[in-house]
Amino acid sequence: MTQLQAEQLHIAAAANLRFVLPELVAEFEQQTDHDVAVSYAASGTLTTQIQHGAPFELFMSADPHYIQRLNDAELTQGEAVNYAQAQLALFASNKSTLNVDEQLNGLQKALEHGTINKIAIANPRHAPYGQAARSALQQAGLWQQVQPYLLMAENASQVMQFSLTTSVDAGFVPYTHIIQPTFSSLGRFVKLDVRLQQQAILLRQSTATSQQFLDFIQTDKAHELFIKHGFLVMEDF
Amino acid sequence: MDWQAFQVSISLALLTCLSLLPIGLAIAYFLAKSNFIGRGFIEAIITLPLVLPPTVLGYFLLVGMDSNSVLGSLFVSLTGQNLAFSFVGLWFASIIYSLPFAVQPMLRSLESIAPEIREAAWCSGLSKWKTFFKIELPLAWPGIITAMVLSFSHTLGEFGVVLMIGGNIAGETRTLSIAIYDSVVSFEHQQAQSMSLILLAIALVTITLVYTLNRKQTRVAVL
Amino acid sequence: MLQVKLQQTLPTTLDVELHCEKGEVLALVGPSGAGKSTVLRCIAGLQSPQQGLVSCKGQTWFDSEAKLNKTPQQRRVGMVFQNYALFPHLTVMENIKLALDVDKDKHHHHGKQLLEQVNLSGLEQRYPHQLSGGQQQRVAIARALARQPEVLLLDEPFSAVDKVTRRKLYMELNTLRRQLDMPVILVTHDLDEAAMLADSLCVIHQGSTLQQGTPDKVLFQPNNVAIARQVDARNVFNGQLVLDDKSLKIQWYDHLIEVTNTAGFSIGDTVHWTLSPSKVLLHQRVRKSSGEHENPLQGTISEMVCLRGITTMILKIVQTDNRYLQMDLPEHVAMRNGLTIGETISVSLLADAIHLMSE
Repeated sequence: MTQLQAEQLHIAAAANLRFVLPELVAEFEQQTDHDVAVSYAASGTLTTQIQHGAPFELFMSADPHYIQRLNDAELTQGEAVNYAQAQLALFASNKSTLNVDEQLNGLQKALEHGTINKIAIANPRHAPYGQAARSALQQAGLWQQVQPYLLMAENASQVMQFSLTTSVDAGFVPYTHIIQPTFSSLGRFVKLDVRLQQQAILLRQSTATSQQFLDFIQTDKAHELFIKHGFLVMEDF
Repeated sequence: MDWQAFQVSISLALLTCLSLLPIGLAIAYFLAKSNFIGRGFIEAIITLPLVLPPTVLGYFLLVGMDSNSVLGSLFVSLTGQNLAFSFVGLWFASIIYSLPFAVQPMLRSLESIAPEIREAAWCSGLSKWKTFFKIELPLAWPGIITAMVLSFSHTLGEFGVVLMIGGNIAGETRTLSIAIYDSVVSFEHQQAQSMSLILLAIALVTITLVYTLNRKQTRVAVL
Repeated sequence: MLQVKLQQTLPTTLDVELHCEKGEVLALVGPSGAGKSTVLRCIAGLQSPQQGLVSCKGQTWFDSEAKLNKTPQQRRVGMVFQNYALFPHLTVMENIKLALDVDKDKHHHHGKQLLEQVNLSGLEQRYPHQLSGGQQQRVAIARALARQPEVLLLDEPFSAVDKVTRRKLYMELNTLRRQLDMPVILVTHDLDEAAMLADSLCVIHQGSTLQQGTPDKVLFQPNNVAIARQVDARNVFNGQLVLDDKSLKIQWYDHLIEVTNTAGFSIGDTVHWTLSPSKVLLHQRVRKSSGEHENPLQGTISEMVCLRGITTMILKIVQTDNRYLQMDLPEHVAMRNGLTIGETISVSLLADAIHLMSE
């Protein structure tokens, strides 16, 4: 399927790619003279849309399980590509007095002293970053203790929103969000040792252009941009 | 079926509709009797929650209930608890976004009572309070019931605002509509379906009630 | 005795003065917007003028000087509204009981009595929307009386019913008022109704009371031309008072009109004069009468209208620059004399019925 004219490439992208993808797209468009349109949403939402026939050619998910779902429904083409890993951060706004550290010691102390108000995470039931937050808390042995104080946000962005209110002591947010200058000045944060596998796959109605883009995000130039925005790439795994 | 979420939804809806009975009635009565220049503006403000998207409302409520805000800090000083992300916070938010559903029917109902009826009661010797309870309230009753039913069902079905300011806390801010949404997004369609059917059934019953009551109101000939 | 003085400049002008004795029916007449309902509302306490005084049976209800303003509940008024304002959710009996001011155990008895008084026995359990217009009006009156009021106020109580029902209600009101021992004020824009029911008539126009007196006096002897216009006086003319043979007469074009009452006027005054159409006497062809020498005039019948046994004729009087005179006579008289349009007839103007007015 070759086109003489450059047609618009439709990409479904997980919301955490909101800051890195525009730069990737700009670079791609410059290199290839193709036009790219991106729709950002929660990976689960995009999956449902694709299942109902949304005209996307490429799906960049924040969770491999959704891609598996689409595979099972025979809506995909070719193999899934692990193009990067996203990271999790713990963020406390300037209104909060909580100490943030990689081992979550500050959180543990606060829980023991009963000085915690609320801790925000994305809903682990369906949000990849929520599941990551749960892993982090389980690893630190705090998952049970933190239950009464948990605020569950609808998605990773809402965690950020909640974390900025006075009632919330800290929130588990995407690292790629919090390093953005607009947000990093609003409080203090620390990167946690939890990774989310980002996977991409061509969809049934894909074209040569989409293959081109899939190849592109695995190049060195693309890796530079991913790293700049807080992701980990193949070499670092 | 998340019975806890069901209970939260029902409690929230009941509390809201009961709170709106005196609040809505007071506002409706005040508006019905007033005729000053700013009246249309006040009516518009009350109707605002009807036209604003839940995101806007949610944003203002989030900011307004923050412990730093006037309201939030007042609540903390009175109760020691935070208003944001609590059932009480949700109750407060529900009162605001269901307010127009309570005030409008009550206002229309009160307005439809000819002023001479009130005056006739006064001339018959009834005090203003007695006139309200024996004459105006019974005549406005169908409108009041409609208001109660509408604010109950509207609160029951509210989603956007709860999503924005609730925090999805089980037993406290996880309402049935949130639970349904959670199930859908988690691809648990069976659960979503059964909860949705229950909500649908309740909505149908309440709306039918409203329409039946409205017919009754128009049959009472008010001069 | 009810005394009312009301003055106001804003939002509407009011300059009202009237009084009503107990047992008297005062009709307050005027066109729509004249302020009649406003007066009633001020008496009832539903509205207050900027200045004034309202007192009943020696008790002051409103006094702007003393800053006294009793609420409607504190006054004892029986008010019948234009649309009756019955409580739609209550039965007839309940409507009345609500206004009763006696012990609970006497409620039923008093209620029944009142219903009998207005000829509505048997309709206790009906709701207002199940009653006819006339029945509703009676309930409104019964409810007003239930309060044992010191004054009864009726705001155009007959305007909402048809003519046939109206006649019946007039009769009933006449009977009722003889049983009542309080001042009754009836507001109406219908002059005939006022003339029929009232002992005293008060004309109000643009917020000012112009004249109060018996219907005969106000309708046929209005104080001035403005009032004459308000009461629809049908023969109003101009003239000049001259001296003729030692008595004052009106110079009306080429005619000299004899007039008995000239008090307050002198020679040379320009006067307006009015005469009731029923005081114009026909010079009968069949039977001559003695009054034919008084102010004889000739006129051509330009219009004839018969209504309920009274024939109203419009005559173009000769030598008056086309002035028209209205006269009423019984239909049978018109028929007996074979009167038709276009004929010239002779009439007499009764001198003591001619009323002189100022501007």
